[in-house]
Amino acid sequence: MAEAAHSLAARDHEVEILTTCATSHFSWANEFEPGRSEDGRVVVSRFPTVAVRSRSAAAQLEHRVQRSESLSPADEIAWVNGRFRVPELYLELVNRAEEFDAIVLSPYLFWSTIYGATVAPERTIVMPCLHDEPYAWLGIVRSTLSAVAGAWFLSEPEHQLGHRVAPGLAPFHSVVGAAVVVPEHYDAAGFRERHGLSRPFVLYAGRREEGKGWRRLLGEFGAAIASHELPFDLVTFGVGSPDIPEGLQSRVIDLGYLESSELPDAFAAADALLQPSLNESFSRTVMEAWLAGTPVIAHAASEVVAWHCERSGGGLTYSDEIELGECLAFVAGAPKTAAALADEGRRYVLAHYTWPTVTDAMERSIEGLVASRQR
Amino acid sequence: MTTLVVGTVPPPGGEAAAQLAALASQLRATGERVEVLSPDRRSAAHHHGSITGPMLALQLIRRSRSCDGVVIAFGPGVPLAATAGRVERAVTLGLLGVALRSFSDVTLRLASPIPLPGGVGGRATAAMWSRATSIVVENEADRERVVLAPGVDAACLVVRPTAAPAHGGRSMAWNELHFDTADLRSQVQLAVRERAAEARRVNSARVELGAKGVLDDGAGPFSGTSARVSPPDPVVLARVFAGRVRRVLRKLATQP
Repeated sequence: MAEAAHSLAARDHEVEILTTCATSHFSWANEFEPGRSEDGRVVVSRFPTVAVRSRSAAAQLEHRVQRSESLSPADEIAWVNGRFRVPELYLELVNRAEEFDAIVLSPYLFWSTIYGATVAPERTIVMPCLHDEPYAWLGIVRSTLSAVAGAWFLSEPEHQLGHRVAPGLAPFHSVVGAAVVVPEHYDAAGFRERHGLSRPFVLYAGRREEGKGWRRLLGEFGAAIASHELPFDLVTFGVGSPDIPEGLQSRVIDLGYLESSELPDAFAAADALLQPSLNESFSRTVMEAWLAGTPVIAHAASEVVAWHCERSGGGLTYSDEIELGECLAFVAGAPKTAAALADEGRRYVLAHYTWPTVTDAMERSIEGLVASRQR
Repeated sequence: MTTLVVGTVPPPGGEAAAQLAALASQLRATGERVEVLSPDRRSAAHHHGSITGPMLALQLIRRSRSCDGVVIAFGPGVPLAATAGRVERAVTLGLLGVALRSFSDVTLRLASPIPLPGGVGGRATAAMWSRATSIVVENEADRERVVLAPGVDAACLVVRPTAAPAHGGRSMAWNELHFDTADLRSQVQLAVRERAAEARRVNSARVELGAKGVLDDGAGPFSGTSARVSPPDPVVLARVFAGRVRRVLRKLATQP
């Protein structure tokens, strides 16, 4: 969202970001000072979150949602309020909504989006980042996506899911995609040297969480190296504790949190990127790996990433540890063919997911929305 | 001296099997008599039989009459299946510790990651480690883990890495496949699916027969042949048991 704001600002749009003072999407604790600041050409206003009163009640509701139980409208609202609230942001929107041609809210399951969308739905665009998960099927999500004027999707499978979730989907909806920055150069050898990586490796980049498929990947990777005698280690970085099982500690290397300047080199140094997550609405790491000339191996059950792999011709998918083992054996045994696949991926990213292309799509959508109000 | 080498050897096998065969060959070259016991009846081994679970100990006791030394290659299913529970682990490793007493020279070669469900420590493994005259691991990290286990003599630990299969085993087969440049991804994806389906079929057959092990590479004259192991012979089991009881009784009788 911040990059999109800067990209639009660079084209002489006046852009403001209204956000929280929090940095953690687990605690929602206020860590930034509230107030207004400037980040380049973008104005950033931060508002404090309000602590949840009854965590046990919120946890109960969360549990019911996770089990896909049917919630009453009142319970759904209580669930939305049970994570965090940011009422001052809401009041700011109430006060200033008329000043904006368009209000873009993201992602779909946060209080700020559900409540913010009710302020000026005729000028609101929701960028939902939908996954096919229990939250997406709440009535309150359906009514939000139907009530607003527009929706931006990151991929065609997400767009189709949007139609299933909200049959009366916002009239001005489109697939705008998401963009990645194209690095000017890569230093794969330097990255290996800095981190003492002497063996070939495959990479997992992202949150080490159950929901992102990290634990499942550990099991699948362990089975794959046991049955195929693969030369690869599994290198990982990102937030969350990796909790590497004892039996895999010699083959799984945790680099912890890496500075963003290191990421392109990490992608370039890897023999392949593994993407085990089933809940992706875009998958930025897949795009960054392809840009770096690194092939992608993704879980077949991730509708969005499988779609990218098929559409680009740049990635392979697996559905269990045996197929993962075969994919890794392919990368080990036929590196030139694997590099040819990655080349297809790079061409795909450059054609669809650079900032000029994505900003064009966002501008077209906003212009259509403004024009419709003026008619 | 006669050494019993226990583990999967080719054909068909993979890198680990090839290395075990090379080791057996080296032992022979030094003038030792070598007998190979493999769970895969397609292997070029002297003996075929199940070596998963308590069967390994029984096989060792049986072969100990003719062999002085033993080399056991720990790998998938040897001596424990990945699904082995605590009781099976305790029984298998406890019996293994007893069986190893019959050999004067014991080498344990551990694949990486070390294929011991439940880890390398605990009482069940102590007897096994204490009988080893040599424990070969693949890397320093494995060495550091094993050296902490009860019963391990640090002086017995040797780090000997397995060469990465840059051009061998299944990877080689991928290297040999030819793909057209048009619609490359679909061709590779199809090959992945087909090879995985074949591997599942082989695995399924092995699981049914209780002999989960290294996958066949699906190539060569051994492709399509069964990896079935020799089933445990009840007469052999009874003889081994009776022989062991006799030996213990004889020992007790000769003690002052």
